[in-house]
Amino acid sequence: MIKLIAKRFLSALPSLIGVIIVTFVISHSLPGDPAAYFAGPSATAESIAETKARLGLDQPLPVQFVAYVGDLMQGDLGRSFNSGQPVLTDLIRRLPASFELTLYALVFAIVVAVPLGLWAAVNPGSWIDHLCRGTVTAAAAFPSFFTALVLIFVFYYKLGWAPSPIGRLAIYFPLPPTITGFFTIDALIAGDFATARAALGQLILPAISLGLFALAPLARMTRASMIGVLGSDFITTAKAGGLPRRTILWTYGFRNALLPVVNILGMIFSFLLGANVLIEQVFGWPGIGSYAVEAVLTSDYAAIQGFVVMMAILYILLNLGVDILNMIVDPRVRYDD
Amino acid sequence: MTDQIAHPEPSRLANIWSGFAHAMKSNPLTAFAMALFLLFVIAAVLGETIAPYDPLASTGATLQPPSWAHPFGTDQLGRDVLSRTIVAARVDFGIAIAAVSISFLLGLGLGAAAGYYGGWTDRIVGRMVDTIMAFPLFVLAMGVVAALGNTVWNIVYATAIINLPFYIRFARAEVNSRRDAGFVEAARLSGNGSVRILAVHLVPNILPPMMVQVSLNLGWAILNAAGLSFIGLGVRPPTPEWGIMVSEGANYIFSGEWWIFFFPGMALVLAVFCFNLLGDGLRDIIDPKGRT
Amino acid sequence: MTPLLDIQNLSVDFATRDGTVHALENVSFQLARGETMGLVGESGSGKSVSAYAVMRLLGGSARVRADRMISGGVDLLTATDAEVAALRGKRMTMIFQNARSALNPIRPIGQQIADVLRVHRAMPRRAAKQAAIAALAEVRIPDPERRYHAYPFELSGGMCQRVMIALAFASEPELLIADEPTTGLDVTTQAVIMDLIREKSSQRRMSTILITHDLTLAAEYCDRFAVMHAGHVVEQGTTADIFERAAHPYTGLLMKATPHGASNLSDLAAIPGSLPDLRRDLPPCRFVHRCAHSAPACAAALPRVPLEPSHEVSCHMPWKVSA
Repeated sequence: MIKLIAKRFLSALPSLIGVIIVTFVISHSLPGDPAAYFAGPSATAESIAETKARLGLDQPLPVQFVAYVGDLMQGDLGRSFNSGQPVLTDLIRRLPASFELTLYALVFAIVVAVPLGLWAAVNPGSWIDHLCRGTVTAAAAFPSFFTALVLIFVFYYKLGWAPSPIGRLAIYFPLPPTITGFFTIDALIAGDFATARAALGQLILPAISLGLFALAPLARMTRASMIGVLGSDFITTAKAGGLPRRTILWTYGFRNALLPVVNILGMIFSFLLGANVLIEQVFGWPGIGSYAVEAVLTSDYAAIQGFVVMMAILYILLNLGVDILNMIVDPRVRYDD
Repeated sequence: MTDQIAHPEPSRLANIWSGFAHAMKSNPLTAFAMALFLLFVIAAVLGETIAPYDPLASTGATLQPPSWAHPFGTDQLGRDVLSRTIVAARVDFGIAIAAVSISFLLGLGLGAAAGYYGGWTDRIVGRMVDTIMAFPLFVLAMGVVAALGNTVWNIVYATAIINLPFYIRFARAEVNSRRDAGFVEAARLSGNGSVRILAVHLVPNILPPMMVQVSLNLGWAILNAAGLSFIGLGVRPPTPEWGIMVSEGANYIFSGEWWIFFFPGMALVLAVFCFNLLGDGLRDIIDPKGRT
Repeated sequence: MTPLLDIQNLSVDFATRDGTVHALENVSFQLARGETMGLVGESGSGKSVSAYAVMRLLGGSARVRADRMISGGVDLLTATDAEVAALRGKRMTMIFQNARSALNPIRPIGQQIADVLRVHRAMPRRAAKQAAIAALAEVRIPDPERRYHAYPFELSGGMCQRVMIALAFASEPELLIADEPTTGLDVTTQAVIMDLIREKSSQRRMSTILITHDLTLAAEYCDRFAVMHAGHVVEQGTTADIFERAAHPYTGLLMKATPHGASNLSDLAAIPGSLPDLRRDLPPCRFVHRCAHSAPACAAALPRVPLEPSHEVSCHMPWKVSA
């Protein structure tokens, strides 16, 4: 098992190399002269040339690439123009906010989509099935940023149920001591239930907006896969053996139906990480997504590049996690190759 | 003689046409989507001609709620939201169609070549696909636009790039499975070159299933393009575009002027909904067993 | 003595997109305790549908009607789903054709047997595990303690079929329906599996329905036969009745196509035509268009002609076989 995981890890290497090459190309095709940019607005021709030499931009491209990879290995993603901080520091400081949001969104999507899909699959052709199909098709058409705005308008402006949709925590709550970086969990650990509740309140709307986007593919896949499984031979065997309906649906049906659902989690993560950027923008969420938007709009190139690399590495790791999960739930994958 | 062999699925196109009529009748949702699509096309083509007001000029009254004169209200500059929403269809559909056309053509070419020739061609194309897929796709699109520069065409290219893998994979798999089929072998033996075999014998056969992909993809492309312009990439104000209009309208939610973001947003939703329904309907026609 | 299984005039229709399929019409047979009956006929003749109907495993698109359908004293026509579920496994069970796909791919085989044991013999977890290992040993699976934890994909087709048999016998049912249990296995394994089924069922005085298109195989293991064609039972009788005194033209053709001790029904090219389309309006005798002896009388309602106490045929022109 350990060996297999190591093997999967190695097989992710080519993707990693591809990602690094692409970001290098992206960063070197950026418009404008980064040297002039870093030298500042009052720069002379000499100071630009000097900056160029300091940044290694006068070297041939392959040399620059080696230097770039070397920097990456040391975790050096450059320095952000906006914050004046190393990009890596900025990103690491902001990651927990994004993680917390994405995790809640994922949990929301799974908790809604999987039962919905199963329910529809167990009663194919019923009104529940049609409801599922309709909801799923509609949910897939809503851009996450638009859903977010509609939710804000209804639940904050009209009904006043949701707290002010800006940031992770209203300013009059104390920041919980950082342990996991998740405000809800840290506040609970600190025993500060009021803050935990407030942090959760801030999370609900963005998490739902984000989660709704992942709902459609998850529910669709769950339904299709459960229908397929319920029609398979081994379910008939289980019925012929007189196993109770509960065992047939859950132990035999659901567990098998889960396999393809686990398989599409990689795609779901791609959806979530992308939509995350938009949602953070709408809710003023201090995560890496809003950081990237700001970087893009102010042409903070080191920050953009750092963000793209980090997201890609994160995504590769998540996919690796999905593969490992797959090995755990499916014995056939475990014994493969 | 060769003609007969060359088209092993001759009834397919005819089937699709009769299936089309049948699907419209038996699935009212598909018919509804088709009507919606035509409506959008009319808006995109005629644009300014059918818009009641000039989409760029102020009517004088700012932030007016929906009324008979302005069914979708007016925005912060007093422009008519309905007119802007209508005219925006051209930009959004334009971006989506241009992007999907590029990825369709490029993906078909690369995928068909990879599937037909195998070997190194296949490996290089495969690596390319893997590399694109290693990124969260929207993030890659952001990076591409940031790198190439903040213009509408670069949004098109970015959207095309992130859609490319799906077409390549699809075309590759379809061509690969037909590469050694009898009718291809026959064409090869009668002295056809590989490019001709690909263009005349293989590609026409994989077009119908690829059209399903195109339709489903158009909705996704619109979502992506609107997302990019929502965060301020690509299309610039005052050009009417749904993503930007939603983004501009967002500032007025807190004072209750909901119509500025809502109507362009709903246009976006309907457009995506329409393409998704059309895609599903098309799949039912082309591959009735493939329903999920 | 009352039969274990009593089926009278069972008809099954399936609603499909392309019309109603009249899969079974007035199928009747009985099965005594300890008896083994062969259900034979071409593919699509309704053998499996009959079995699924008895197990009440047909899906929602099936419409089932019958005058009588009693298994072990329980009326299958009026029993609720829960009551039938309680019968399954305990009273009647089934072995399927492709054992590998008939086993849960991601659950260890031993646990699948233990699942059945825990339900039907109310065993606690640990006892069920021991009993499952014993059941694996009983079907002569080597090293059963270790195999308890094996997954179906780790076993050969023959081994999977042994697991299926262990699974079927675990609950000690009174009726076993074996649906082509040896198809896809090599000849030596076929004999081993069939001997295993015979041994286990005679030990327990179980009744067995063996569905097969391999007449030679069936003749060796069955006491009685029902021959099916296009959803009808065209003839039934003892093995001797069927093999020596076949009265229905179709049975005759089946016999001719199966020289004793040689090939099986797949060589049935000698039977003219093919099964009729079961979606159409069908003539009373569904064999009439393929029959060399059809006469104007054949357009009348299909009779059930008792020939001997054990032998019955549905034909207007019986005994034309040898002609």
